[in-house]
Amino acid sequence: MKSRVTNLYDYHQYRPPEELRRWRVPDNQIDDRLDLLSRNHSLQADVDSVQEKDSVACRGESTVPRWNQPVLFFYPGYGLCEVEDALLGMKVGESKTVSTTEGEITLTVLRILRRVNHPVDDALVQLESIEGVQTLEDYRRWYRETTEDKNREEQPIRMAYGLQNAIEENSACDIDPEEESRCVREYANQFYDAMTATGQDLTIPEDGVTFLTEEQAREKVYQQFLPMYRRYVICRAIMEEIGHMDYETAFQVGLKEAAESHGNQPEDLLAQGRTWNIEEYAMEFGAIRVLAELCKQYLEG
Amino acid sequence: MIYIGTDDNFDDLMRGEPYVIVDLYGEYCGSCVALEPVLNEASNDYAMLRFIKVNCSHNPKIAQRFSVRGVPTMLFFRQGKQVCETGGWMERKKLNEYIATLLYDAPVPKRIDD
Repeated sequence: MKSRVTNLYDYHQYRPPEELRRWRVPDNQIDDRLDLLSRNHSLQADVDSVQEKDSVACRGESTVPRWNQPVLFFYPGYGLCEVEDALLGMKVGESKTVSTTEGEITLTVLRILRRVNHPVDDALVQLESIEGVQTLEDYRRWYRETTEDKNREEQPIRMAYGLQNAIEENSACDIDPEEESRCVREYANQFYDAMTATGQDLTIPEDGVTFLTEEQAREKVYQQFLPMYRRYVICRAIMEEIGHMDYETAFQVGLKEAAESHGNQPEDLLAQGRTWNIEEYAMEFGAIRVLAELCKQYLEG
Repeated sequence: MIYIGTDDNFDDLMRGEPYVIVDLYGEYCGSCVALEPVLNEASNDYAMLRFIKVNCSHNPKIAQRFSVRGVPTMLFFRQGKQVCETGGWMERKKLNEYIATLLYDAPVPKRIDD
């Protein structure tokens, strides 16, 4: 391959954002989580008079058909309809005539339900049916451990995307135009044919007015994909220079990574042959894996 | 609370309910995951409305029956008849507009994915 990176950005200069370095779970995050559980396990209790955020069933009598119903549901305080706030303070069995933009409606309150959040206690966390979790303290420990494990795995990947962008923006490449054109044209044509086979017509432009010829439509796809080639060259350099792999090893590592992220096998991705698109795909996934390993050093101590 | 709908129990969950909101979601769908807390909160706030969620990956008959074009899709039923449909993630304010349509025949909001 003639195309190459002439100056690869020195990743030591990269400084990830502070929020991506954090993996520990603060106490208030667990408190918020418990608060969410208490709302998710709330109950509805019958009450005597209407307050904001209650659920109210009424009988409606009106000359306006949509308000003339044996049962109407209202939710004062949520802004769903103009009538709801008139119900505030009304008691079960009480009636009131309300003016609306379409005419009058007489509402009789049939039932009022109020949401009661579940207390934050051991019984609440037992409702989650988590193995080994019986008490609030168990839950706090379980949530902290599982979330921190997840964060330690995922934060380096998020940092890796930032580092990859920094490398792309700050590296210099010598791109061979013939190589670039051949690879991207191959992929653009494959993409065009695949889209056409599924019934999509790429000759219809976004403005929907001036149709493109097939040649123009293929060229448009090609131009859209052109930036991929430089990224491929850079990702390849990341694998070789930072990951210290030869190209074939880098390809196999990247292919495995790409397949795993889609829940399938490397051979599935090679079903259409080892095209440039697959090579590029493998290099992108492989580069992120290499950079994520590197970024683990940035996790907070 | 949100009921879990399947190909087998869907009609039972719908039967006799004046107002039903159905969330048709898919696995590995980011928008579906993002919509879940919005629906959870609404289902807790709006007692007397029935919320059902159906995993379309596991219950293809429901998806076929309602000609689901993508996930998440929400269907709104009044007395068993479909009143409106939405596609994609939405914030609570937008969901409230659809619920107003469901409950009070308010104008149907413009679909987010149109």
